[in-house]
Amino acid sequence: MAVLGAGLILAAVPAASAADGSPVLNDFILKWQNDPKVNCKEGGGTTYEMNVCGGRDYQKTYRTLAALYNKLYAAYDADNKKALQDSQIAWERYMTAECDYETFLSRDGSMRSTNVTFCKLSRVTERIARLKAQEACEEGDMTCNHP
Amino acid sequence: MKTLAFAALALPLLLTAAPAAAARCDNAQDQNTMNRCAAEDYARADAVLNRTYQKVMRDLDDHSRALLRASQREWIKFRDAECTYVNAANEGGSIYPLVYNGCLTDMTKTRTRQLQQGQN
Repeated sequence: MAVLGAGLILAAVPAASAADGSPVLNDFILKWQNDPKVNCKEGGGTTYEMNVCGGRDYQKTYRTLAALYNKLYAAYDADNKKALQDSQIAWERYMTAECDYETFLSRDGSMRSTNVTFCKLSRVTERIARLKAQEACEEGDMTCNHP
Repeated sequence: MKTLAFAALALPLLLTAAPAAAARCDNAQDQNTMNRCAAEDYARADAVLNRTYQKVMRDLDDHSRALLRASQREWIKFRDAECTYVNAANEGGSIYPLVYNGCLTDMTKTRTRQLQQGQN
């Protein structure tokens, strides 16, 4: 039973943004608890198993986002760092509010946390795609922000 | 009867106005025209989003409505911050409005689809 502590994320995701309050470190993934007894490859069908497996997917995906964010952040000058960070903070707030809305109908049910995890997983996946487009932005392309 | 009269009046207008604007924008060569066309594109996308948002809001109970309103406000802030970030390198340049409005349009269309899917 491993609780993913802030130290682990900091270790996995070092770089500039951690020091100045990167928004990518604020997520509830820090509080999520893994259960090594659950085998996700067997496609567990209980709500509990779905929570654990969804949490693992989410953790992995969120780490990808954090690494991508930190890579971009490190590559930009001060003005672009600020613009990226502002956008990321706003995105986090939007993701939280959107998933509150999308999962409201299941608020009292056992599926609540699974639904929140999958909603956030979708949003994080979208965010990765957006930041990847910036990462791939070629010098001279004015429609994106070349790192 | 009124509706018919309006339709009879509006239809030729729509038929002539839309292609003219499209041709002007498709063949735009100068920055000013391109900027103006991008702003028009965005205004259209924003109108569709607003209609979709109002339609979704109508079918919600009070609590969900408050949550969607909150999410929409956060989304607007995110949209603006994201388009500022994407466009940051063009700050002060004549291409800025074109890229900014293009970004707003893309994000607005994505948000519209998201709201439509949530409705089903």
